[in-house]
Amino acid sequence: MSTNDFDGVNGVGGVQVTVRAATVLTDHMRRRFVVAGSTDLPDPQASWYVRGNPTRRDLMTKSRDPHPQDIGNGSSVRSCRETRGARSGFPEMVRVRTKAARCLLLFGAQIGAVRCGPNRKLIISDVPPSLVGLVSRWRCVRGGEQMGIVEEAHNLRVIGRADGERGTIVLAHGFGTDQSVWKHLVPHLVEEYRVVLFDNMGAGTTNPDYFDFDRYATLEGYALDLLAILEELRLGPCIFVGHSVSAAIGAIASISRPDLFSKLVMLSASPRYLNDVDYFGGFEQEELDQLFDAMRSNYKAWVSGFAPLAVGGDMDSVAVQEFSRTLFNIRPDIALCVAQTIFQSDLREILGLVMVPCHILQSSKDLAVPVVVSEYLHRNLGGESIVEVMSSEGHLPQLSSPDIVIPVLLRHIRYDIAV
Amino acid sequence: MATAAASGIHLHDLPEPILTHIFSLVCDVRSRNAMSLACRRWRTLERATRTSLVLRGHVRSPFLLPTCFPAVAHLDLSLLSPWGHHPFLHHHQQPPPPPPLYYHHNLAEQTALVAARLAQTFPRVSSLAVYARDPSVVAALAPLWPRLGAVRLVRWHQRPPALPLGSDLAPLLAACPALATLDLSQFYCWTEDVPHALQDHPVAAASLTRLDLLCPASTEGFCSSKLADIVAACPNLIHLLVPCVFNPRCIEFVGDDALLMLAAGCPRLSLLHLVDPSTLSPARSDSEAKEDAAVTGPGLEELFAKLPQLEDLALDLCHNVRDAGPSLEMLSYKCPKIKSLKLGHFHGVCKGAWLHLDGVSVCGRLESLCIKNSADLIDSSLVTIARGCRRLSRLEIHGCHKVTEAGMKKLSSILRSTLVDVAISGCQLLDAARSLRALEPIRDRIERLHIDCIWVLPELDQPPQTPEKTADDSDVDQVDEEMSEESRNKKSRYRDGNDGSNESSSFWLRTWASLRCLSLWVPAGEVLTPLGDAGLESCPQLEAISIKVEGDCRTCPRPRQRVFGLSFLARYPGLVKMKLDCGEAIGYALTAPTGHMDLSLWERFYLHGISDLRLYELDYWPPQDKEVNQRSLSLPATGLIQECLSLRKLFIHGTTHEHFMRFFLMMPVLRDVQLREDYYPAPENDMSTEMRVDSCSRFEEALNTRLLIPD
Repeated sequence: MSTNDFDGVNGVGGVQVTVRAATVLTDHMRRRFVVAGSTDLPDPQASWYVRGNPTRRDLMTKSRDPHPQDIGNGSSVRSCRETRGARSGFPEMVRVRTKAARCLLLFGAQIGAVRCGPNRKLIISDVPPSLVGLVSRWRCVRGGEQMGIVEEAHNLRVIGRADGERGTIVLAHGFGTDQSVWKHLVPHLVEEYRVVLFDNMGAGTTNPDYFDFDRYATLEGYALDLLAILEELRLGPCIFVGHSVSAAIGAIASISRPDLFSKLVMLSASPRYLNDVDYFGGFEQEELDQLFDAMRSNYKAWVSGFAPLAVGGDMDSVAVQEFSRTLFNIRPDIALCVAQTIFQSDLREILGLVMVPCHILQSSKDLAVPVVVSEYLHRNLGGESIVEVMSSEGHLPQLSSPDIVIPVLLRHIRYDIAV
Repeated sequence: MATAAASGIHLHDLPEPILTHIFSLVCDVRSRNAMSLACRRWRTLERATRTSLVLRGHVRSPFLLPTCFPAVAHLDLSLLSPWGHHPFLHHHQQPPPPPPLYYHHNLAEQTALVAARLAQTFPRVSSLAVYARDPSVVAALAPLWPRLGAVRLVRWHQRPPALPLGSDLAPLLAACPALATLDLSQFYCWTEDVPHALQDHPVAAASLTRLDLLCPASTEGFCSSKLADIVAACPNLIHLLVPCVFNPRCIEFVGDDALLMLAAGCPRLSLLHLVDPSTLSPARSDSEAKEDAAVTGPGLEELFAKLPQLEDLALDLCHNVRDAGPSLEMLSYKCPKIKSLKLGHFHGVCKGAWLHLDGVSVCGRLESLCIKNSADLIDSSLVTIARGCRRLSRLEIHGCHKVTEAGMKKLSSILRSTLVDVAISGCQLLDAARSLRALEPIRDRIERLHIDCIWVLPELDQPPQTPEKTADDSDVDQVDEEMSEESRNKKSRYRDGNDGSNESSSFWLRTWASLRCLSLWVPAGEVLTPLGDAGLESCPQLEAISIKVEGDCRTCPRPRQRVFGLSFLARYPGLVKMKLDCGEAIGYALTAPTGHMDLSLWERFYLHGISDLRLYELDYWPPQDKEVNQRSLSLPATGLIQECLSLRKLFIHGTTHEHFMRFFLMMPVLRDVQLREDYYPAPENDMSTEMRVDSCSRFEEALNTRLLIPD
């Protein structure tokens, strides 16, 4: 923690809120607190990805999503000041560094200077008399545990060895499932590793209010979430195990912050699901149209107040069935957004930038991801990689055939690629 | 009414004690709520006489506890924490933050605060039910009401393995020396726990009169030494229900000696249930017992001689008890009060060889009889039982493969004046249609009925090889058309294979005039629609139906029609309650192999048509995937349940996602929605994330803030 942390408190006298780069900050949350100023303090961690490598910047400009950039470089904070802060006119000074303080923001508090004292204790000073009650009540309700936005929004959980004897493992689930998809794997890891589990935004377990449709229109939104989690925990380089789309998310995240990842284990990953001229992704456009039609009709039913009834089994294409089975576990509006995000994603361009070692694990019979895709990944990844095709079936092999998949996963977690 | 008003006499003119007494006799909660809205005086009276209260949801703040029920004696807190989090604390299961001392201090403080508040709010509690995932809950609550007489503990989660033996019960027994009833039938613990705790607290143990240990979650029985410990600690028991190790291959199995020791230790027993733990599991297991139990006829005779007060006896074994006839005759002499009897794997229950009464038929006072898996029970045995037990009102036979339609028919005609409750299950020679024909003599009197939905028995009727209707392309909505086609098939089958004895009965509509509760067991993949042809066409009084689907959806053939046929039940005009238990139907969640239906499709199969029913209350157990221990409501199931607009109470025995729950908010009169994870093992908190306290709280809030719900 740098000394800069406390500078803002005695500063110019306007409310200053710095939200670190990749915090999950959706409109919903933003509404809850008033931002009346911004800090110009240099924060190396806050600006890392805007400064990041040029390719990433290209990516960002390509996306239609304004938020990931805005949050980081402070422009949206400034615009907030102009639009809303002027009206509210809070003169106090708040600088938010810790997760606990962010939690305060979540609770809608505009309450004086918040800082992190020794032992991660929260110190709130300069609280206006009218808000004293609010702060004390908050402390009473929350007791000794203070959760940050990231922890709460992602149902983040850190289990296993506290010292992480052999390192830290981050388990990221694919779409339509949640962290419980790892239930067979986790018991094998907790003895030796520190294990981080979380839910991707939009999973059935997360608060749908936090789902920002702009932010999650591209996979970068999820990648930023992942980085936020890793930042939040400050655990050092981790072994990242990603299933399905989360493997792609991990790959994107590792491009901008290779220092946070010691290796990536990709289970049933695919850089692109649609077939292309010289690429076989497994899905034809017509099949996807069918899927999107079903989703749209679901969405319409949902908008008119009725729960949708369609499920993946109704589709003609078996591959789409396989994929949509999980996709239909998501709320219809979110599912539509997610499905489009997935099928529009094309990581082939940036695979070469992934320098972290990758272990590619693949079911021999996976209708959503053909086996040739793993070969494609192996050939195009920038760093060293290894492929293992398992005799399991299905897109969720860790659930359908844990006996085959868990030992393979453990082997790839424990051992590195031998040169 | 008019004359009363004219003469100025009013209900309020009644003396206060009488009015109070009248109020105290109303037990329906909704009526009580309505009464309390009449006027201030009625509200005061109602609050002062309400004696039982069930709290659900979560005590987020002790100040949210209802304080207006000072007279509550039966307090049920077991629904406060269905997900195993601490009932009083908000985020108990989160990993503790760095300074653990502070955390524990805080936890204890908050628990004490809520507990004190509970004691203050409900000072007169004498009977308590609570979810006790770890001992701290009981430790906090039990000292508040030292005069507690009855306690029911609930735990569907695994017992914390590090706990010392008996520590779950110790705080309770230590704090409540006058405890008379201890109900652990929904409390998962090890068999070592109970004797240990009882021995450590001899005063409380000696005061116990009712002890229920029949927990379906436990696969382990009590061995003879543990049974002896319990009996030695609790000499005053009147009711005792215990799962026992009857397997003679086990160490310390329960045999004649153990039974005699039990009878000698607790001579005042009036209710004794000793069952094999495997009979408690919700799944039906019909394995033929090959070995004999160490329980013998002479041993039973001695047991009965020592328990003269016995009224209700259940000996449900999974091993054979040979030649039980003479001992059962003894039962009627030694235990003159015997009213209810349940026997599993007993041979020679009643031979019925001659005209004289033998075996169980000598027990003339029996009102309820259940015979399970008796290999030599035949038609003439049933007739003899009917001649002997003239007061029999309830009869259950299960897995008696020699009983036929004729025997049951004869029995029901003899017992026509008393028999109102019949259950026939797992009998090879009695399919649905035959069971119903067998009950023809009591058709207008029977009130409760259970049958198996086995439509055609293959070995009796040679089914004509009709082309299998697989994957019919007809629209789902054309159920009726399919049904009639189906019924035509069915009828033709009957005519082919049978002598046409049912010809006469199909001429008029057969009415089951008094039938109120119907229970059905359906193998996975079977449909419900042939029920009408089997004979249950008209049941004007039917209020409650419970359907249990059991089997492996992964291996069963694809169903013949695209829907299960719940809409068929719309012909029962009074049907308001339904229990649909697919919990023992096993399929693939999320990961079905190619060509197989996954659970969401099966749920759609089973729930389709529920919108046609005017249900008030629905209990639904989603089908499960055992490999991932997932019982979760899927999207189509949510959509279909949501279409049942008349639902007021909805209990889902499983988990679901928050946004699926949100769909239920569209149902206009829905008032009470609960997710109950009342199955063992309930998902452990660290790995099951589908429904969280926060998401459930959000849902509850949304449910309660809706506009006025019509009554």
